[in-house]
Amino acid sequence: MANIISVVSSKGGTGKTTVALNLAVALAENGENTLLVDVDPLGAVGLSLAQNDAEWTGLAEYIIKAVSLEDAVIKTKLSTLSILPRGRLDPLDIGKYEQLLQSSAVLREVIKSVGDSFRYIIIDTPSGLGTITRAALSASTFALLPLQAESLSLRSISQTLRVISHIKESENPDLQLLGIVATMVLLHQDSSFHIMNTVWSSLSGVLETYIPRTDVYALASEKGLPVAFLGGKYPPEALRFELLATEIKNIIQELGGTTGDPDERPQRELI
Amino acid sequence: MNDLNVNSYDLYDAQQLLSALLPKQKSVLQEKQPQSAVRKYLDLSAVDTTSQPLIKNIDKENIENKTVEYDAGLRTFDSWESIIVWCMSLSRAEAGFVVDSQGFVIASRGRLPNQGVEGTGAELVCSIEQLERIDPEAGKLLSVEMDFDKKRLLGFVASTGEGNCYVVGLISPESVSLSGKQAIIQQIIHNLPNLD
Repeated sequence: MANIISVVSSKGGTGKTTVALNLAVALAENGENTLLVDVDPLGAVGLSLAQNDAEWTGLAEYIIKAVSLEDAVIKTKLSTLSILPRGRLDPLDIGKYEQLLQSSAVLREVIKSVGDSFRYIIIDTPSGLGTITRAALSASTFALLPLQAESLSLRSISQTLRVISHIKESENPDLQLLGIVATMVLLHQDSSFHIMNTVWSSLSGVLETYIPRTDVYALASEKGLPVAFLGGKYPPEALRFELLATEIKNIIQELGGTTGDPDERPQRELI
Repeated sequence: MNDLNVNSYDLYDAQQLLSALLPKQKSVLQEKQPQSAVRKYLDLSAVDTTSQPLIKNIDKENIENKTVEYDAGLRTFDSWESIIVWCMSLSRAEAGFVVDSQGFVIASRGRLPNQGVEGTGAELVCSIEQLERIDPEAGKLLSVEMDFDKKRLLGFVASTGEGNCYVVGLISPESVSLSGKQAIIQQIIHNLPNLD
């Protein structure tokens, strides 16, 4: 059964889509069958990949049974990575989309249908803690919190934690918190360092891997690519996401999830 | 920015929620954190996380000369954890810990190494005892700073005057100036009676 990770944050601009996309790529490049699901009405995953807003069919069409799930899921050129995009959603219909997504339990249906085909399902959620985010958390086994290294993000983190806690208690006891991943970190900048110092010294569950703020993400967005797919020298930012993927897999294993990696290996001879 | 008088972050609720959400061994809820009356919703008053301005009156000359006046205004801390957080803020340390004269770690904060700091702390105490023998006429050793390949380790010694001492260790990528070290030592000594 898949490990279903919702990437959530009450505040916008914390790097949810960047984390979701690049983490999915890192997991897939590590050989894990991964599905990236975009439940954000903004369609941020598609936008990050420079797709025209109405280019891909996806979840929106599946909800109204205009397409099958098989047709809605897009296979990428990375054989182990598939994407279930938002679909061709008119911005004027976002309210209706939110209601349908929440009431139809479509996410659970999707996960049930594809759960055996993927090791990891990464769900990119919209900013805020509304119905879509809650629906995603209800259908997930793990939550991952990007925390932008700035004041508003730190001040609002308890909002997100409260919703996760509530969902775990009332709707989805299987939901577990993977941890907090710091994003847009600039340690040489006083304000960013001050935030990170507070985070590291005051909060538990902060992942070892953090994502520094660099220009490469803007370049990747411009080219419509994940950072690992940029040409030229392999970007250190892509290595960061490899580290993040490894750390997350270790945490999942510690939490009793399945990563497909055997716990034990036979002794080997070197010479 | 000149004024770093940023208000403290009320992270008590976040800490409580994390404590409930994470596996027990990962929880670092501060047991000595002052607590207000139990409330149903998130409305706690700001917790004193000691994130007060430590750098003030920075002017261009100081920046160019790379000297900084540290606000060593003495404050009262009621726990080793809160002192560590203050020291980490001043020194830009990644992690901090306190070791007693027996070499036992009695408090720690921050991004600790995977293997923990127990071994480091115990060795630090032993090393300080040996270093003091280099020049007994020089008095008590107040601080040490060690540059390794992969990290910098600082240790600040606070003696209780009864033959016991505490060593506050900081793992920091940056060096701390003499004035900064003096500020840290003064702060620790000032608060020792509250904590011993």
